[in-house]
Amino acid sequence: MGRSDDSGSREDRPGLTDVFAEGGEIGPDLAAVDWAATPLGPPDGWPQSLQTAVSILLSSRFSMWMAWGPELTFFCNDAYRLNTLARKYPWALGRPAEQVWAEIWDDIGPRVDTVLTTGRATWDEALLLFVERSGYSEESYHTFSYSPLRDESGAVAGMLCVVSEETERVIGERRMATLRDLGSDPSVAREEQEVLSYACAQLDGNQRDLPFTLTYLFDDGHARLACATGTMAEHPAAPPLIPLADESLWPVAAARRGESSVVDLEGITGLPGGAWERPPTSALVVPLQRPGGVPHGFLVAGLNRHRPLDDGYRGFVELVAGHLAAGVAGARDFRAQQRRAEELAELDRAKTAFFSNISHEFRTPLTLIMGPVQDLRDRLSQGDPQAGQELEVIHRNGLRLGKLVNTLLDFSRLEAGRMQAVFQPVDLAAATAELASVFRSAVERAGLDFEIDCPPLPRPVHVDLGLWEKVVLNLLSNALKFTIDGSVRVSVREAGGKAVVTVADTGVGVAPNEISRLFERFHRIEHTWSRSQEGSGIGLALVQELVHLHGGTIRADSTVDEGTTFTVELPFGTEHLPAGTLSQETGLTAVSDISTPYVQEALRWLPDASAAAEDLLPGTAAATAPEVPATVLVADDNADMREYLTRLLLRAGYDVRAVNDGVAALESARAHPPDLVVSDVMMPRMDGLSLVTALRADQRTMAVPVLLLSARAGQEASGEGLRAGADDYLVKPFAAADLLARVRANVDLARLRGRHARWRDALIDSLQEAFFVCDEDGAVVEVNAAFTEILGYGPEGLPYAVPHPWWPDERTDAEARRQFAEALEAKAGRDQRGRTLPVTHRDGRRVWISALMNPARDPDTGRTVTVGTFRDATAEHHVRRRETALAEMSMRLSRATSAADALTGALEQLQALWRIEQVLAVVFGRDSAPRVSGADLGWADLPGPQRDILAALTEHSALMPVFTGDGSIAVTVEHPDGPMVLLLRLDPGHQFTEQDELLLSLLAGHLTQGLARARQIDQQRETALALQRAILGPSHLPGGFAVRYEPAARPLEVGGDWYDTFALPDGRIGIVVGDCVGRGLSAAAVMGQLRSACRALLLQEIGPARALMALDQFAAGVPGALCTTVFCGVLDPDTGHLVYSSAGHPPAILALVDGTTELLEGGRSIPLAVKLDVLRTEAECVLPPRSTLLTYTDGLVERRSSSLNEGIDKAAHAVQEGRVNGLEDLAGQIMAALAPSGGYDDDVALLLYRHPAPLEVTFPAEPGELQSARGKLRTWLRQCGFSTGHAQRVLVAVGEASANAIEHAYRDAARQAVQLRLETVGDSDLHVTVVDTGTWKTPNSPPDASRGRGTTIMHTMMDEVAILPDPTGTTVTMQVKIPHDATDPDHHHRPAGQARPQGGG
Amino acid sequence: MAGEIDLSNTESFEKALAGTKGPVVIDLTEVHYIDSAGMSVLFAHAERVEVVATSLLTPLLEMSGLTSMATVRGVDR
Repeated sequence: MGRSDDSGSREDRPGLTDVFAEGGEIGPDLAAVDWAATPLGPPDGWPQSLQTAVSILLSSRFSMWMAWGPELTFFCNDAYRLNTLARKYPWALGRPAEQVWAEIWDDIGPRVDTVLTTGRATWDEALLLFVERSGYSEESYHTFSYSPLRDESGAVAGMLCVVSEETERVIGERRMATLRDLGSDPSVAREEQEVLSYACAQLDGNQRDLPFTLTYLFDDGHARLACATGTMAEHPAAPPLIPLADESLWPVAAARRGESSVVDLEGITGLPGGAWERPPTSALVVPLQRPGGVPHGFLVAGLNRHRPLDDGYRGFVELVAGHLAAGVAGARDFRAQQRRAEELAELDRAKTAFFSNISHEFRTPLTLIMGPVQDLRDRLSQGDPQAGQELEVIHRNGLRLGKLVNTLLDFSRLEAGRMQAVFQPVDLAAATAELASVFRSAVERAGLDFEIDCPPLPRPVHVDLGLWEKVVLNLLSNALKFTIDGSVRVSVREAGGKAVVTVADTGVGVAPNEISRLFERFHRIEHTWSRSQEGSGIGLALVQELVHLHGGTIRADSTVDEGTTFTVELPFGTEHLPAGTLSQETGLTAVSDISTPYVQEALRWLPDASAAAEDLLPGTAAATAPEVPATVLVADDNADMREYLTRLLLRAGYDVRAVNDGVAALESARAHPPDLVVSDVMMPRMDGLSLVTALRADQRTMAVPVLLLSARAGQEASGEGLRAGADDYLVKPFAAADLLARVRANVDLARLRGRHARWRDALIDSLQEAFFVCDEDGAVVEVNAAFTEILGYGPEGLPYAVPHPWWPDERTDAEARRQFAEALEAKAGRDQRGRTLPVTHRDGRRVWISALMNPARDPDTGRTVTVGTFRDATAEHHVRRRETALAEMSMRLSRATSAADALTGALEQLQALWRIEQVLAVVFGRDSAPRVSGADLGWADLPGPQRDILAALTEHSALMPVFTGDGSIAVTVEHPDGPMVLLLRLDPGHQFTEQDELLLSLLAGHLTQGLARARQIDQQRETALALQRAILGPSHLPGGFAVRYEPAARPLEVGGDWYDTFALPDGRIGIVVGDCVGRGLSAAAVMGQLRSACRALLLQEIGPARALMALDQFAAGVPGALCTTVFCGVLDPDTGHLVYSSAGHPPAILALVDGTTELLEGGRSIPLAVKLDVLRTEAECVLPPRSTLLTYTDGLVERRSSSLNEGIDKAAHAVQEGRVNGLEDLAGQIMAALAPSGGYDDDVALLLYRHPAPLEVTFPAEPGELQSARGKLRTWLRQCGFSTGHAQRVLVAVGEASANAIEHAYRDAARQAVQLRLETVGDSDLHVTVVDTGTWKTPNSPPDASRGRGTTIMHTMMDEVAILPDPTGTTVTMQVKIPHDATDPDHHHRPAGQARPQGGG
Repeated sequence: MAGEIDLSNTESFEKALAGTKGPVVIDLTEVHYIDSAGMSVLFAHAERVEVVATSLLTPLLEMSGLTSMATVRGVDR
């Protein structure tokens, strides 16, 4: 059956007449559309549902469009116009949606169909659509939801699309991923080709933005193709070599000048399209920049023809080129570095040989230097202080050099056994005390106590004075170097027959495992505090050698943090000394020149020893000055070196900060990151390598370049420095020009690198997505601007340790916290779908984010970090929430069976949705006092101020939420009875956001529609009930009939199907069952007319066929009556003779007492009014006794999944099965047996007749009436098929009961009535009831043979007799089995379906 | 006799029978119905009547015990 399409009538709504009023700028354009030319017609004729939908659309700030009506006429709001429609505005307004989005209709059409046919909303995330809105086929991504819009009848009349365009995000993410891939090259430094191959493999992975690329490097007069992506390798446009002068393909010259250019690709055929079907129309050629030089080469990037070459796209390609350039530069640098390291190693080997072989050659020139310097000092120090200071430096370092040379010579002599020692008898105590005293000033300036305890020894000791001097000075120098505070003590004693000299300090001490190695040559104890890291590590080794030369021993006793004591024991006498080395000359105890360098050196370790560097600054500026001011941090423990470097760099125009160890350098760099750090490798507290590591580990100083200086040459040492992360490595001694060149290069490189970093930062900051980096512990160490915007937490608070402050509070929001923690656990896998998580904004707001987190390797540190992006999915979350809430509201409203019911349901939902205590709805009826719902309050119970607020709100425009100032929010809704104000008392702990306002507005819109619909239902119901009373089947059925009626459209109780049965004047009975097309009220109206007409026609006794032919004429004039099917019959209840005719109606079913069924298929023709003048026929049959006739409409038997015949068979079976049951029971059983699982979806009418009808006879209680009653009884029994003999038994029994009633029951009240009722039950039972209202005569008491005999006769004739006397009357019930052979064999019915043509027309 | 004998005409049946003396043959072959009131008239005169009836009535006459008190002759028609 068809569907009714009764859109509701529109009611006048003053608040909504100007439907476009909310539209902002778009309003006038919408108003200008010629709506009359659209299927929707002029706006003043629009149904209220459409008006509400448009009003919701226009008042929303979210991007939306909607379509309504048969052509899906297009509407949109301002946001959509701006975000998506572009050039299609205002052309699109009022056009069929299929025209507006013709180019993507293949994609969205099926989704629209789904919504319209199923009524279920769709959801698509970031769907790729090629739209034609900017003059070309544009790649765009949209996240959108289509939801159904319903009209007043509840049918889907249109659809609403809430959309957010995500093109920027999707493309931004894609480009970011490519840049991230480019930057994640796992190798530190490699060959140029390897670097490029890796990079190009990454570029090949993004053929949407880079359909193809070519990378050319300038090389030996040509541009050489280094790599190609996008299957360009063999293409004519990608020759392996291009002469620099050849401009025919690509703008080589411009690239060499460092300029980018866009190249039109028209004319180049066969280019690959990458991810797209068609090849690029243009390419961007970008140079691979080299700072301060001709570019390394250029990148040709084929451009995505579906995107404009905007700043973002250009920036992306330039960043890619920047990465390639950096990669090429890195590879070339690395190659150069390697070469340099090899050269340095070679040099170092030469230097070592040189030193070891010819160190002694230094002595002559040194002497020649020191002598004149000494002279110059004496002469110039007075007149020229600056010259004096510089000479002082020369002098000091000359002394130090001399000392080093001497020490080296001592060793080579010792090793060669050429040490010419001369042992003299010496007063060791005095000589030692004398030597120690030269250190006094240095020790005391260091703030240490100095104790010399050297009482005279009983005997002299044979020593070589020069060598002993070195022993003592080295030990003292060592003590001073490693003692922070406390004292240094020198003592000489005799013990155990030996002279014992001890040098004890309260210094840092030495760990026990290191003590044995103290005297190892060149062994240095690491990580120990000392005043200076200067020193060759040969001092103590030399001491030991020298002591052994004297036949003595030396040992060290030390405790960490307490001090160290060196004990030297020398034997007395000469037996232990080689002969020929002894001199009996008593040694002089005067201190030689040897001590001077030791003391000078020690003094230089002390803090206040250096003069201010500025004082030393000569005014000459070097050509190596940086272009812009740069700050260099110098770290060296050697004051001279520190000053030298400072002076050099100041002179070159740098700002210089100087510190004397790694710790100080780190602090200074962290406080104010310099442009470059120049650091010595060997420094106390923290050496240069540790400094580099520490700098690299800190976000603030990670990018600061470091130039390491070291005396250690060789590949191993330089490699160690570079591995630690140093940017450059310079071996001492170095030329000033070399140093300055390196400094300049590193500062410039850092600037360049900084530019990339700034690019990266700018790019990351420009991402619409939030971006962050977590370290290994999960602490967030980097964020971008979007991050701050979404969460409120900025870079100033970094790092954000776990738990991050935006995590949902564990106490107040445990569920959200759990979701969050789970997502953080599962942060692996690049392709993992983003999860939507709740987080808390800094201002306390709940924000929903969709986050993606991936592990990544930090190329700087090699650590695994987590890089994450997320976007604000709050709107999306709210869209989903909105969909759910709207769906629930729709469901509640559609279930509602009255306006009051609808309102109650809606209030419940609002209350649950916002967890609020109270929702009030007040209807300001036009003619009545305000009516309150949602609380057990009357209008008069509300506080006065609240009443005033509510009353004032009725003037407010509908559907716009308003805060009332007392913590409530109100919205005005058009109730059918007048304006209604909803007042929601909000929970103060719950923020009512704009999203909530929007949702409230939408829900209110739904409610408006729902109330109007429910009101219509109310009205329909009233109409229907009236109608039902007027037209539904007869209230009184003739005997023998049972009926059922089930309308499909709830809650209506009428539909297009009907049954009718009524007595004709001649005593026959008219039977009609009909079925109008359609359902609901409109079909019922048609049905009512047909039913009346059919009854009137049959009452004319013209027979069923002619009645139907007349009905054809009638139906032709009734809209909606066409194709009605009717079964029309006339039954003689006495004989069971049935004449019938069918207008396209399913056949009646006759169930016989023998268990068979027949279909009454005769007299059939087409449905009503299909063709006028059709000659209808009728058929006749006789209903056999106790047979059951079923007539019905096709709703009973028609199922989509099976044929009509199956349904009819099933119905026949049901009638047959139930033929033994009472008629009413049978009717219920048939309805139940044939009901589909979800209930009937079509109107069903059903009419049952069992022949004969039960007999009911009422006659006056007079003997003269008995005979006539017997006549009726006899007839009926014959109809039931009783043989004469069996009928006689029943007649006698009933006669006795009746006679009893007449004779004895009415002694005091004559002329009362006796009622007889006889009916067959099931196959073979006869039930008889005889009722009077008198007193039954008790059998045989007093004895009365005749009456007693009557009762006996009843018992004899019947199987069961029950006599129920009662003060008000007596009921006799009797029952007898109808024997199988009781049926009159002569009595049979005429077969069904014999057609008998009727004249007519 | 013809017709039906029931409460409405038992009285006249009784009177008619009371007006006879000696053995009486009552032909009920044309009587289609007799009830217990009619039977009681027959019982009252059982010793002197001979009843002729069809199979329509004989079962009742037998069942009521009249056949043991009066002569009942069945005829088939």
